[in-house]
Amino acid sequence: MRRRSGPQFVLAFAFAPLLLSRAVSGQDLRVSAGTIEDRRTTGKFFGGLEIELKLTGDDLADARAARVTLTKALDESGRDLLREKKEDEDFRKSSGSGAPDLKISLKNPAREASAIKEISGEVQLFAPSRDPAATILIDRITSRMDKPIDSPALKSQQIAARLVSPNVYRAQAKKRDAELEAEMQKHKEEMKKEAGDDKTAEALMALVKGFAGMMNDVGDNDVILQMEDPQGKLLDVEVVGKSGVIDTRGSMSSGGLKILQYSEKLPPDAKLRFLVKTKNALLHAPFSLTNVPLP
Amino acid sequence: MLLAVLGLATAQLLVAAAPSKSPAIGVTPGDVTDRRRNDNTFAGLEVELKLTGEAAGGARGARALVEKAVDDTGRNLVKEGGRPADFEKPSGQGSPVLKLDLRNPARRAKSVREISGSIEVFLPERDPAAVASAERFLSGMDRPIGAPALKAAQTEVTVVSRKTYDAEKKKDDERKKKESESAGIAGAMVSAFSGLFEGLFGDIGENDVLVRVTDPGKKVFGVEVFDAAGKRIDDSGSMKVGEFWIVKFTEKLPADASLRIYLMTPKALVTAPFSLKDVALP
Repeated sequence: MRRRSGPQFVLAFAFAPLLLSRAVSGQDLRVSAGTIEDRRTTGKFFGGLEIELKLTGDDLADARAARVTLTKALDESGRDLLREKKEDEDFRKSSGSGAPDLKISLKNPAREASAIKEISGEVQLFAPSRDPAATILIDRITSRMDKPIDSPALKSQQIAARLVSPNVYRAQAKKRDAELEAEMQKHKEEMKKEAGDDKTAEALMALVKGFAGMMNDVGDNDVILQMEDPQGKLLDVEVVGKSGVIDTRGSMSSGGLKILQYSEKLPPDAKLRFLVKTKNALLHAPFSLTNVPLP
Repeated sequence: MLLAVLGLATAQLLVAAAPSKSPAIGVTPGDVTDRRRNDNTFAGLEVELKLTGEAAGGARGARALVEKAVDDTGRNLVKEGGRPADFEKPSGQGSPVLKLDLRNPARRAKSVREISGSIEVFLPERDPAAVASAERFLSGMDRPIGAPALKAAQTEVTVVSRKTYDAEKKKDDERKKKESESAGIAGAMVSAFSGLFEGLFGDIGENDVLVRVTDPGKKVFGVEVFDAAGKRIDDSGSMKVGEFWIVKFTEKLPADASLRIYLMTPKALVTAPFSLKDVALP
């Protein structure tokens, strides 16, 4: 554990293992405040305090993603800056070889407050190299199309996945489109009444169709996955070749559907790599920042 | 001097205080956003101004020029060396919403004690010479539009063909290249960036209208296309590349379409002072 003097530093507490006996504790992870933006507005949207957290330390070497959970945030006037309870933040993936970008979103401090008295919580790092069960490789992608992926490793994590071929996916999308169109025609008059005029109703229906159709357009080389992950254990899926991850030209996700877009045909030996948030792959590092000056 | 001060004071009373009769044009504060950052990037205070008064509805554009802005601790909020704001255009049916770009007030400040300056509002219906028209302009390409209003404004406007545009653009690019070469590395970087932006946004579609505007006095406010029945044909955006204005259209324009050029003549450009007091800070 390292400590730094000064107002902003990290405490990778030595007693953390006592408090979190079943979690893996970070040994060398430091958190400091980076860019701070206090956006104050009389408008309805986009107000709040955003603080970038900078991570440093040896624990980051294996980290593929990180997230932060907060337990306390107070300005110097004693105002509680934590937002109302919401779902856990998603993990943020590392960009290239750099540390993951973490940002915390708080309520605006008092106008006259010149500093944040304390922000504390925990940073969780996802380091799949620390647990073999966190990486699940599926080979022979092309021979697995249009049937469930049979993998005991995935099953043990309660994850079900199915690769869908572009042709079958397009046929399914066409069917979905037709069903949506029929449904909209059925409720057209209702919508016109709700919207007030025909033009607005048409525009609304076009918008709905546009959104619904956003994920219908797939390329011949795309990898399409339908997944069920009731425990929310899956962090990411990627395609790997002989020399590592094969870069996509983009990806789309919605619910249990994930589409990885490729401009070129994947090599025959390409594999799917599922990254799973197992207990042993997660490092927990409590932190506390004090007297953070406000801009 | 004294007369000028008295004149300004009287005008402020008319515009901001307006005891009984509503003035032709004025402003009230809208949303206030204080964006404070410890790296100073994009930091500042933005105060929205809403146009009021009976003339507000006819405003095709407006801008505010700030002369004084002070918070209640006495901090000067006027940005030094900033270029004058561009004219804001209305979105949809409403009048334009203006935005003042100021420095961040002190953290302990509770309000902006005073913001004053002037607003400039473009009201083309106040002057027939503020609108020049070119009927069936698609058949008169590459010839300057001969409207007297343009001549009076010392402005030359020409709808150009794609061929002319490409030739002119090539000449301009060569000139810029020579300039950037003589300016060394900094010039090369500026040239590379401007090329990148033009590459991103300068794509010209087959239905787009290309207009060369030679306007040393910066009188041309905008151009619009109308059909034979006098109904405006909505464009899908516009951009400027040097002297050229590119107005984008998704569909082919009718052969009998006309072009209207809006000119900021002295009669159509109304200037009024404004003064806001004790604007609460969020």
